[in-house]
Amino acid sequence: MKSISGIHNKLCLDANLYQRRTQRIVLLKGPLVISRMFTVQKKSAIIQAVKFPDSLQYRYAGIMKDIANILVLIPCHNEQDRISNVIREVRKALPSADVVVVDDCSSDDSARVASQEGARILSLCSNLGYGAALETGYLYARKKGYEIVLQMDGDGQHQADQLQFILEPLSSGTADITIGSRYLADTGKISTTLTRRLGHKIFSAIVLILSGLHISDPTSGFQGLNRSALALFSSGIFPCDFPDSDIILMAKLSGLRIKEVPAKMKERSGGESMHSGFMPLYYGVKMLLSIFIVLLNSHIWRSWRKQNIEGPRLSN
Amino acid sequence: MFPRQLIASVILSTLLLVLVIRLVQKQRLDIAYCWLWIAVALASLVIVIKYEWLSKMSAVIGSLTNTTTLFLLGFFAVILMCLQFSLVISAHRRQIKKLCQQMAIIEAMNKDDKDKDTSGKKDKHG
Repeated sequence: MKSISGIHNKLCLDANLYQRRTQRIVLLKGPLVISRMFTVQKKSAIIQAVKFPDSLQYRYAGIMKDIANILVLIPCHNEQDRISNVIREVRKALPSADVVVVDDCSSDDSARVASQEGARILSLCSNLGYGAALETGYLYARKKGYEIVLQMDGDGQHQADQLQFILEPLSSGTADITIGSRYLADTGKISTTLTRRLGHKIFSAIVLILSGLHISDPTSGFQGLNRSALALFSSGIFPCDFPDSDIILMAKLSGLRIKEVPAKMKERSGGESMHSGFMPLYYGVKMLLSIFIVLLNSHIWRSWRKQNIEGPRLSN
Repeated sequence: MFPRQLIASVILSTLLLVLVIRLVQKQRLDIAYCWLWIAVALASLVIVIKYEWLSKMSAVIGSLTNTTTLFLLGFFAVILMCLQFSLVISAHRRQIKKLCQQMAIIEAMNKDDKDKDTSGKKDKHG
């Protein structure tokens, strides 16, 4: 199967060829191009795109957005007041992407509200934690053969119109993981607590020292993954609670390309943050231990890299 | 060791051993989790019968009295048991996580298939 970047060139040609024709011709040609290039079924994405003609752009970026098999993954726990708005914004930004909400055993009506908005719901029967909810989404995405997974929080902090910046490095094939950083975005003063800012600095420095990778916002859950990253994260190694710096380090040691992009974020409009109370203290200790374990397991990541990253490249 | 103390210790250790075996027999305790309890009961029996071994051990670890050695051994046994419980809980947590995830995925995939069938039927009729 060809990579996304391989399809990029072909689609650029096709987009130019059909730019002067009507939208319908572009859409009809789409499935033919896709069926030649992919082994997995992508036609449904185009058919879905017909339903949202306003979103279609004749530029390559627009076509790419519509044909690539994209899943927007939203883990949520008790977000009934915010989740519908989040889904609506995602639909506006990426109309052809599938939206999956992982309901981490909410005690409110989050799942029903999300379902009414047309999102597919993955309902966990027990509260497993943020990381496990994400992992469930990754497993689903892998089973369904999605090319790209974009993840954002269900509390409305992450803005759906920023998804395109997360998507771009993945669709152009320049990164395996993209992380949206609030510190790189030009938003003026960022209102975070001193503890959180300090935590970001410390873990950012740890990641930099251990992997040479500068990540300004290591706790950002606003991320995008391609198939390689999806394969690593759904292999049973994903932590249940806080998948942050440890996961970044693990991905880097596994040979994945990580890119940080600016992404504007909003303040929480309500609900309870998972970093409230004594949680930051637990988070710090847990993350340090987790990073230590990741380093101890370096041989696992090295062998994963050989099997999944270097092996395929050599055989190509 | 005084004879009364010896008899009491033997009775208590034997009772513990019998209790563990009976619980396993009645399937209230899994064989997988009973080995540490059996080890504790057997160890107490051995210590009572071969009391001089405890004195030798005290000399080896440098404790002045046998009571200290016994306390240390008991403490170590309790720590081991807690560790075993943590292992069991961790394994159960992993299993529950996997189960919940699989249930959620299967449920969603069933819905996907149903939606596909419904839209297929609509296309056929429409």
